[in-house]
Amino acid sequence: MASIPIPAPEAPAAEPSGTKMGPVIVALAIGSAVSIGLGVYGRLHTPTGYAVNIAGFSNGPAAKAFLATIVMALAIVQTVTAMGLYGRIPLRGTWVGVVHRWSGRLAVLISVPVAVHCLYALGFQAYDGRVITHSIFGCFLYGAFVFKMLILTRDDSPGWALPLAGGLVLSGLTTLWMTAVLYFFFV
Amino acid sequence: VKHRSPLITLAAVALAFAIMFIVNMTVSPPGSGSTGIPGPPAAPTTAIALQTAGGNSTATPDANPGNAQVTIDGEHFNATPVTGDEGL
Repeated sequence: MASIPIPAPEAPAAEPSGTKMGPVIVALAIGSAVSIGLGVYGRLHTPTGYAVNIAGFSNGPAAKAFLATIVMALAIVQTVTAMGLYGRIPLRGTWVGVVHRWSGRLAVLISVPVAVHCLYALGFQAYDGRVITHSIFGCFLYGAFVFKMLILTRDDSPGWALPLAGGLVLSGLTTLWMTAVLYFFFV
Repeated sequence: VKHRSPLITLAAVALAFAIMFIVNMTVSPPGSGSTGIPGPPAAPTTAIALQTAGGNSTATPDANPGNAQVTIDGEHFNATPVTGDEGL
């Protein structure tokens, strides 16, 4: 009796490098906790009304407006270089990534004195629409930043997560700049 | 693959926040190095504490500010808020 060869089962196809939502959700949760924590601190902390001034400026708000404008300019550099990294505009070369990383680091570090001044001297306030918008987005910005930094540590996050995180940071920063610096200079 | 540099950036930012808070809490007393932003209004006082040389004084808050009691060396006095019109 002739035996019928039984074909060997094919090896399962290699699973495509899947993306995971778990790390995104965890990063989002941690970022949200940071935002809420800053808001709670700003609300519970009694505003001192004073803070360490920066030499060379006539007053604190002027220093903050200047620093925030530098941060906004660096955020534009971030946006342009990110578009180059994603192939949306013709920017090539390893320098694009280097500029993107260092402009981001510089931007967030320059923003820290401004944020600490707001939290320590002024707190989370809500006496008009501009101020409550500024307070909310000030807390939101650092949560979005933490979200982005945590997403950056993972290669298995979905492709949309990092641009989303960068967009959230840029949106938060733009809103902050418009509700403070624009108001300071033009109103 | 885990990328460490964003975590280092996060740690650096957290450290910068901590340093700035500590500097603000320890270095800048009111009126020195001020940003020029007026502080929050002070809480209203209900009694005035008087201090005399070599004497002990205590102030007793009262629900009615006009009836606040001040004790100086065992004697009780009515304390009234200073208005600047006392001709001192």
